This record gives sequence, structure tokens and C-alpha cells, in this order.
Amino acid sequence: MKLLFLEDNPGDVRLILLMLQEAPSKRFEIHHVKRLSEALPRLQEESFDAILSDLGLPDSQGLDTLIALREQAPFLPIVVLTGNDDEAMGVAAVQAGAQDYLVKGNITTDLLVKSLNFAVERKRGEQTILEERNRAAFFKDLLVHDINNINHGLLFHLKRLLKDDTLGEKQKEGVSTCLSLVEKIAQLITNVHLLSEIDKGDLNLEAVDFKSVLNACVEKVKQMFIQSKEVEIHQHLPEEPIFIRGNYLLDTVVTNILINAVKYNRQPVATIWVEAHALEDGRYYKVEFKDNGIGIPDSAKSAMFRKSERFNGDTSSGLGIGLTLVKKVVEGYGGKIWLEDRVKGDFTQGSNFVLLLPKA
Amino acid sequence: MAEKTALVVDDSEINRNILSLYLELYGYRAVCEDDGLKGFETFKSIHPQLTFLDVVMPGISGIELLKKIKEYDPQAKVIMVTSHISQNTLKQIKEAQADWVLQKPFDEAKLEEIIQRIESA
Repeated sequence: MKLLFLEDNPGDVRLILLMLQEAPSKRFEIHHVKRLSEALPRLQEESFDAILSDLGLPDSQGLDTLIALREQAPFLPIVVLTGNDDEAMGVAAVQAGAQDYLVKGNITTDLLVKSLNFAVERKRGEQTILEERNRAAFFKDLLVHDINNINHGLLFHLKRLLKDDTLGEKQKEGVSTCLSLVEKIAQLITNVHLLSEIDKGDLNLEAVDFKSVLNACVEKVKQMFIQSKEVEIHQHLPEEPIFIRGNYLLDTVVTNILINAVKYNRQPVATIWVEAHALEDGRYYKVEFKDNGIGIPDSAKSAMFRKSERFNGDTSSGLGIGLTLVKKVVEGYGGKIWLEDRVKGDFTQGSNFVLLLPKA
Repeated sequence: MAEKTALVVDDSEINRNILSLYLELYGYRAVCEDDGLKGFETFKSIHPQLTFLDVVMPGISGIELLKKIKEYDPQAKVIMVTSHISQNTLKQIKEAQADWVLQKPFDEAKLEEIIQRIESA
């Protein structure tokens, strides 16, 4: 292991060099410098496997030393040495990007070698995570920008084609089918975008008027199915306004639940009953969306919201990631969501999506 | 009445074509540019009634171009055309005084609504 070693105290230099030279299991090629200003050009010109550095140097102190080293060599593992009894500085250094710390006075050969070995492996792991994260971000961008652009073009041209009076019934039917598939792609892209927004964690919660969001969603969903399915939505809500602590994504939550209730429904009229009341604890509204759809057996209920199962290759259910999104949003609000049977014990009578939404 | 002109600045050919076709329906002649700097020069020479800017472009971004245009002509009507964007980017767009944000995929009805609102304002 080719090691860059920064230390100005002659006693500590001697001790560490001795330890590394007597290490039985590993050979170290040690390049010793006394100052940060000597280390930085070396890092620029040569390649090393790791850095072992005292944080207190004649020309740099504390975390500044670490920050300068990381800036110069972002891909190298760093183990820092802190003064006697300065655990706190060691922990701060690890939080600031060092892979490990050693407290002077408590260092043995075994500990030193182990720490350097672990630092190399840990850095490799961190690097892999970073690369995977960047790869995921790249594919997400590809989807929400590039593919979205192409999809936008498809939607536009298909809609124009549908208005073309020279097309026969059969051709129009074909174009319609294509259009509805392309619309599904658009919805999926939207959901991927929203999921990644939620993962960033910045939800900016504020008071949201549940009743007006619900009314807008009811209109939107009825409009969506106007050609294909009769939809009835009954509201049983308290007189007073319902303000919950949420954000613009409440619309996505309500829309997804309503769409599911209509889509997975074999009755001549898809019926949804929306009920809400304040819980006695004064902190939540309980909102229920009951439907007369095909229902979900107990064995499948908890899997409905689970993204991980879908990400493990089971993509055949056709539900997209809508419900994963719904659950993430509700939990982001500090609420809860679960699934019950509309008629207890008989799932074939339809589902009941139960939400606890925090009061504003 | 003089011909109505719209400027479309977008690096994607698909989007330039779509907007041009839409705009023709509403009586606009669309002039297209594929990058921000050319877009600004064209803006200054043609003084369009409407300007459509893509947000993500190589070179200067749509938001930077929006700021330049609004600084040059505060009365300019600028519509930002976006893919899915973060709430943060949306905030930046609003702060830069965009007149409208049009998210892709959009349909004819949405575009018509925007054009009508801007024309009647």
C-alpha cells in the first residue's frame, strides 16, 4: 500500500513508521511529509492508495486539513490522527468525509493496519454507492426529460391523427389504443418524477383544503372515464372545512386512489364513497375511500404499497407505481395509509383505502 | 393587421416542430432557434408577441435567457416550456418573472388557454 503520511511531530513520526515497518501481514511504501503545503503537490503529481494524516500541522489545523486533502484527492481513503483524548475531533472528521480516525496514544500496529485496510474498503464502498446513485439519476433524467420529450411528440401527433376525418373507424380505433398507451407512459413518467422529488425529502408542508382538492380530483377522474365507464362518487364529509398538513401532492394521492377504484371494477357503475371525520385525539382526519371494485385478498393487501417488491422484478401486476407514490406522500405528511375490505371479511365486495391525514 | 410572430427556443427538434404546428393553428408565424444565445439575438431582431423557452438547454439555460429577455423588454410575454421539474426550479422560474409555465406533455386546450389569457391581458 502506497501511503502518504502527514505528521510534523518527530516522536509520532518515528512511532508510526516503526509500527508500519513491523506490520507482518502487509507491506507499506510510506511517503512522509511535514506540512499540508508539501502534501498537496505530491497528491497532484503522484498516485497513492491512502492518506494517513495528523489534523494539526504547522500550516493547517483541524478539519481544514481534512477538507484540503479531500479537495485535492476526492477518491483517496483518509485516516486521521487526533490528539490524545480528542475522540470528538475524530468523529467530526469521519462525518466530514474521513474513513476512520485513530487517537494518538492508543495506537497499536494491529489497530493501525486494520484501520488503513478498512479505510480502503470503506472508500471503495462509498464510491460504488455514489456511482450507483449517479447512474440512477442519469436514468431518471433520461426518462423525465428525453423520453418525456419523445412521448410528448407521440401524444401530439396521435391526437392530431385522431381528428383526421379521412380515417376509417378501424384506423381510429387503432390510433385511440395507441393514444391510451402513450398516456400511460406519460403517467408513469410523472410518477417516477414525483417519487424522486419525495425521495429528496423537501416536502414544504402547508395547510391544504382537502375538500377542494377532492372536488377537483372527482371532476378530473369522472372526465377521464367519461367514454369508458360510468362513475358515481358519493361524499360524506363533515360540514366544517377540512384543512390538512400537506402540499401539492395531495392531488396525486386522491387521484391515484380514485383511478384505482374505477379501473379495477367490474360493476356496471363504479361507485366510490368518500367519508371523513376528525379523530378524537384532535391530531388527524380519518379519510376513507370505499369502492365496489374487485377487491384485494388479505394475502395481497400489504404488498399493494410495497415498492421494493416491484423493484425486484415483479412488474406484472399493471398497477404502475401509483400506490407506492401514494404511500410515500402520506407518510411524508406524517400520516398513515392502509387497506381494508369495504365489507369486513368479504374482499370481493370491494376495498376501503383508509388514510390518517394530520390536521393543519 | 400585422402578422403575429412567436419565437420558440428549444434544443429539441421534436418540440420545436410541435410548437410551430400548434402556433400556426392560432395564427402565429413561429421562428425557431435551437440555442439560447441565438434565441436572444433573434428576440431582439423580430420582437415576437410570444416567446416560448425550453428550460434545460445546452449553453445558456432557459431561465438565464428569460432573465435577459425580461431585462431587455419587461413587457415581453414569455412562456417557459418544461419537462418534469423540481419545486425549486419552478420557484426560480417564477422569481424570474415568467408569464406562464407549460409542462410537457401539454395538449392543445392548455396552449389555447395560455394564448387567450396572454392576448386578452
